[in-house]
Amino acid sequence: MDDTSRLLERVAERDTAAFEQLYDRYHRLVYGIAVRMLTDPSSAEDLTQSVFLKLWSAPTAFRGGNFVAWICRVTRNRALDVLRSKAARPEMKIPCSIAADDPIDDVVFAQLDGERVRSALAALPPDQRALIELGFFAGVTHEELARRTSTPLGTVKTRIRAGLRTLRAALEQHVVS
Amino acid sequence: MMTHDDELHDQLAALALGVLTNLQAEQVRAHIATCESCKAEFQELRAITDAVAQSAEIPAAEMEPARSARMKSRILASVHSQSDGAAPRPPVSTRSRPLQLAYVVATAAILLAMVSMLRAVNLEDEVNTDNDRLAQLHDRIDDQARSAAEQNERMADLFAADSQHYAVPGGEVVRHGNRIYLAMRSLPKLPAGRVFQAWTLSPGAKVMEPSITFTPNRQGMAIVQLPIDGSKITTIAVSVEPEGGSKAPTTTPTFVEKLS
Repeated sequence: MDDTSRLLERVAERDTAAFEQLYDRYHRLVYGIAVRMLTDPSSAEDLTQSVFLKLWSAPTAFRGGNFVAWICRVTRNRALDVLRSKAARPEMKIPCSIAADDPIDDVVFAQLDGERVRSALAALPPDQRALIELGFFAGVTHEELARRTSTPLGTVKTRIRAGLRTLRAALEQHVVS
Repeated sequence: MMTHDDELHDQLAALALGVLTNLQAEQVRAHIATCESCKAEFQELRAITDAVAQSAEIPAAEMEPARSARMKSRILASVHSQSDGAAPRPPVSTRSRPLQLAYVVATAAILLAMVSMLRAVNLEDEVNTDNDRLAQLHDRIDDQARSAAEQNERMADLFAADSQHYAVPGGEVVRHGNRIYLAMRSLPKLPAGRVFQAWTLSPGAKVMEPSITFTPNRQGMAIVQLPIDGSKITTIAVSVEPEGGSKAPTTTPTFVEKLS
């Protein structure tokens, strides 16, 4: 059992000190995703608070696996909810959420840190990198990505797949090395 | 040439990145449920997307200590208030007990206890699921209440008798106390992949600091509050920048306004 799992077990026993350690460890990740998606620090703070309070009030919502991946999904889904509620145009489509408890069986990437992922992203061809980052953090559909980047939809899809594949290869190299 | 397989794999990648609509996602998920190879590929791609999220982590050296401390104190205050009077949950490890097979009667008693305990665990799981749903509903209500409160505060600031208004091309800058807003009525249409970005100059500073990015609605309207103490700004500007914002303006500003 890793250190985070032990902390989560203590949080389930209502140990506030363990909860504080979890906050110290992951708040820069949660806040970072929130502010990147909402582009508003004060909304991002609120969202960070709601993610951690959810962790406190329902720690069993995390059912095991890669905790970092899980908390990232929870944060992104909540940010998508906020974007939906604030959508300037009612007809604007916000993409579907990814269930936070979808299988998270790939723990290879659990040991990565933000800096390594950033450097792997930076090494991608710019058009692939832009689509992956916009797609993930702007909370828009691939049709909207095509419109915003003036790129044919088919090309958008192909570049996303190629970019994710290249990224995987680069991250696996990081993990191996 | 694009084949059916290519399209399908592209859709798997789009689902993993989270850029499909609900309807599109349901269709791809329906296929994944019947195809082991696509399911495996989706999970691989999904893991990469999980890693992409980690790129947003703010390095420790760049996280504002005041912000970290403020969020922490708010969250811990809520946690402590929820903890008061809450009975501690039993540790997970106490759920299982070793079987003792010394006597038949004892075995039967233990089996009976285990059946009861399994039922209790199932019930506890159901309660936890309900608690999860309840917590999500509470969160949504809180989000909406916060959003309504923010809107009320914003409207009060914009129309307050003592707020300062600075006319700028396409709208105005409004300052009320330490809060400052861009209230834009007719911004020009943005090129694809571009956003508006605000810039601020603090007293004594020589270069403008990047601030919030925003996109107006179809009519060119946008009201945004700048995430900065408005009483300490001497100049504000807006320019058109690439999506995600820039560290320094890359285009001629739409306007530059000195605040008295």
